[in-house]
Amino acid sequence: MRFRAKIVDLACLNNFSRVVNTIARLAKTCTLRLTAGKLYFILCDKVANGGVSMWCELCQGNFFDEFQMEGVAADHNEIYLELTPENLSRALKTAQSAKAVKIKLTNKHCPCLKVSVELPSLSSSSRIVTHDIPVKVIPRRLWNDFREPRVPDFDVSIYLPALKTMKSVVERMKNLSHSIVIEANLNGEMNLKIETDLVSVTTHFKNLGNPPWASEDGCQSSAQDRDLESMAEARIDIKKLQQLLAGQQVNPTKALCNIVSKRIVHFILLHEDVSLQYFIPALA
Amino acid sequence: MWGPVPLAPGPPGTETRCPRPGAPAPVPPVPTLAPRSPQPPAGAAPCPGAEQPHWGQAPAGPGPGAQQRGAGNPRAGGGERGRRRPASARRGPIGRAARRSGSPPIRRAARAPPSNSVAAGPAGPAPSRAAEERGGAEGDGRRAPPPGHVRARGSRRAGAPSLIRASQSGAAGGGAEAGGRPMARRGAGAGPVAAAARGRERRGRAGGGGAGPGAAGGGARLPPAMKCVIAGSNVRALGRAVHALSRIGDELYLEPTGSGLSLRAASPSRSAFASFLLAPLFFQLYQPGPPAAPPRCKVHMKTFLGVFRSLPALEKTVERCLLLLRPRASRLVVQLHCKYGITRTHNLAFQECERLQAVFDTQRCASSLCAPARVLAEAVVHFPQTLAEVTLAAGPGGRISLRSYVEDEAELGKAMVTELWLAPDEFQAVAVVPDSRITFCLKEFRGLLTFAEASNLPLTIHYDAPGRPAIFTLEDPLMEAHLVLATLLDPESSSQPPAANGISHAPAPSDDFADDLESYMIAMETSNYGEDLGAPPSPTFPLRTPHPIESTPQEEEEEEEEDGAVPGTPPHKKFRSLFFGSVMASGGPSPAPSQEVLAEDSDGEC
Repeated sequence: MRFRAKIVDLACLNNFSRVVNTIARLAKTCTLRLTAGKLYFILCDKVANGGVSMWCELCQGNFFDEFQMEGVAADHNEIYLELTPENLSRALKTAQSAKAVKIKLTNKHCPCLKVSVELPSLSSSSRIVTHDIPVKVIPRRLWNDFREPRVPDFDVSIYLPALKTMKSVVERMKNLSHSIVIEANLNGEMNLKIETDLVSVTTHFKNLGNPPWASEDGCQSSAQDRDLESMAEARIDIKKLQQLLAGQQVNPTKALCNIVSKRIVHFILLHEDVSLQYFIPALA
Repeated sequence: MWGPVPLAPGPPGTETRCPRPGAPAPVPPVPTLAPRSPQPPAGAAPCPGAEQPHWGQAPAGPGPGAQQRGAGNPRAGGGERGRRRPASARRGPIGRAARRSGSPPIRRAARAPPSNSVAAGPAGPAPSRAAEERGGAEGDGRRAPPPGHVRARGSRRAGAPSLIRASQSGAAGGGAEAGGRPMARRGAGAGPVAAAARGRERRGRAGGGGAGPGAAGGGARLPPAMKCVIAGSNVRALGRAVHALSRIGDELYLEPTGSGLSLRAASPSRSAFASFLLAPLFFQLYQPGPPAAPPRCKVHMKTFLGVFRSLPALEKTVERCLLLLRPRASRLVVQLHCKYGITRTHNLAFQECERLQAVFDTQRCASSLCAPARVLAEAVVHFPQTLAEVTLAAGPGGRISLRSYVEDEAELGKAMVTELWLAPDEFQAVAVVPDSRITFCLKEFRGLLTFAEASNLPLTIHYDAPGRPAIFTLEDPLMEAHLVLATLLDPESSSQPPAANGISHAPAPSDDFADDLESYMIAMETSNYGEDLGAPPSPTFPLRTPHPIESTPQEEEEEEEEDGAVPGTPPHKKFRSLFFGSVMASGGPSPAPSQEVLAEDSDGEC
């Protein structure tokens, strides 16, 4: 098993550290899956996490100047590592002006992702900082736990308003209630609602648009013959939603959400080179 | 084991003695007064309630109960005077009464009939008449409090237990200090001044005898023990120094000396000590007070830090800063003169204390490094804020590495380890023992670095074997700063002799009585004091004092930083655990076998 990668370009580096930052805000520990062409940050839905799961996918070519990896076996050319994204994010945070960043899988005392940052210095030689981030190598028999989640058979799919707007709304609502109801219809309308004994607050968004899902996989079958005006709703933990929104440092090119009535809300945030899916289960 | 910087003053509760010599003299009634007191008991009467606040402030040893008292007490001034003035009013009379009677002031006060003008409060134990008199003499009642003036409540009350000691010190100190300006005054002139104060309070009722001299005394107004004026950007520097010190400990020790104003702090576990010496040049005006009996005080770090909390605001608005130490009023006054004629006055309560001192000697350190603060600051920034310690090591080719220290093998698999190499040419000077390495706390170091970086000064690191303190110094014509940090006695590196440095709390010099107190303190403070005690006090103090002699009180005066004995308190928990870990480790080549770690070995080979 071998892995080494290098980032030289500053813009790529910044981009990558933004992604890692976002991940770090969403998950304490996550799984990093490396394949020849892509990197994945995966959080799977354990009940202990509140059933939240995350799937973040990026093309290595968009970030790394060098990328070599060798999986366990030729036919399973992949590596699964469990790590604390916070560590990676910290290591990259002080690398903003780096000349180069190398990431390498090592096994000195324990398996580590070694991040070496080459920094400019006042002296003739540059300064090298290395961070050994401990990781756990996930054995192949467990790989099945980390499959890409299926897009659920949603009732309504809708584009999200600007995430910043949504974030400020949700942050305020968070002070009033622990849970929030997201409801949307196929007419481009979405409401964020909280209801408590003392107060009910609803924010209405209109003309958001509904993404056209090809019926290839039939996943929108239930959405097909749905009344345009009827709302599908799910009550979710407001903190989880707020976490997701707060973690976004850049407005994604596309953000949408799929609601399976009373079961789950599925967010998809698409950037140019990154896609992030986030699942928040509905509360009973 | 973290050794080096062990000790400072005992925990607050234990500090019973009143170091400052002349201050609290419950004892001596001034003979001169008697004749003078024209309106004596009457005068005395009014005050009982009033005084208390006063007492609290009196320099007498801090009593345990003191604080509450201070807090609870309504501070009422004489009716006419208005609230600000009360000091003289309150004090004057009581002092008087006490003086006259010669009996313990406390009783006196209690008996005295309450006067209408003064709010009656519970009479507190009067720690010392002398103190009161002084207060009166100082005439702080006359000071017009500037607008916006903040009054900190007196925290120092003399509790019953402290009384005795206080009195001793007062008595002894009085004699010793006679030469000092204020003291002298106090002894001789207190009476008159007090009388004058009273007279004022009464508005014209002043007795003939007292009025003249009193007025004179009042006019002269005893100078504060210390007066400093700091201008412009130096205020910021002071603010930054305070911020750096606030990372070290909860109490700030101030000591005006001939060579400058010294600000110090030590961590509760005695594993860190920092001192900033602001040279007289740093100030626009610097009056350290009587050389014979330099006032020493400590204030709560938080309160002091509060004054300088916002550095940007300090920079923007403050034009001048005035520091006054008024032992008689038990107030450290910090005045910030801001733009647009705004003056902020902070009256901080302080405690008198022994001198806080670390024992260290940079000359004895085998290795030293000097680098611009910026280089080190940029290096340290790569370590997570949560990281407690780093290991600094000299590697091949003169390269210096900094590496996160992971306490526990078990942690190794979990914690991120960061390592950084600095080329020798990034340093201004490198003279290190090859393969040497030390592990120290990052937090305090960061504090000093922030200061150094802002002041744009090079920072020198002196260190020796693991387990011996590392000393970080900044020097400038205007100021110098020292940070002494315990280093970890590292199992990996062979055991080293115990560190030579430590902090000692030197008692106030110059008092004759200091001796007994000192010994008392030492006894209390423990075992690790020293060489003589074979018994290992606590494992936490690996340090030994280099010079056995130093422990004697008399000498302390002379040594600035070099000597000291160390009484110590056990390090706080975290340190302790580290410490234990390290203890197990070692045995070593060092002249002193590893076990010394447990007890301080005083004769130092070092």
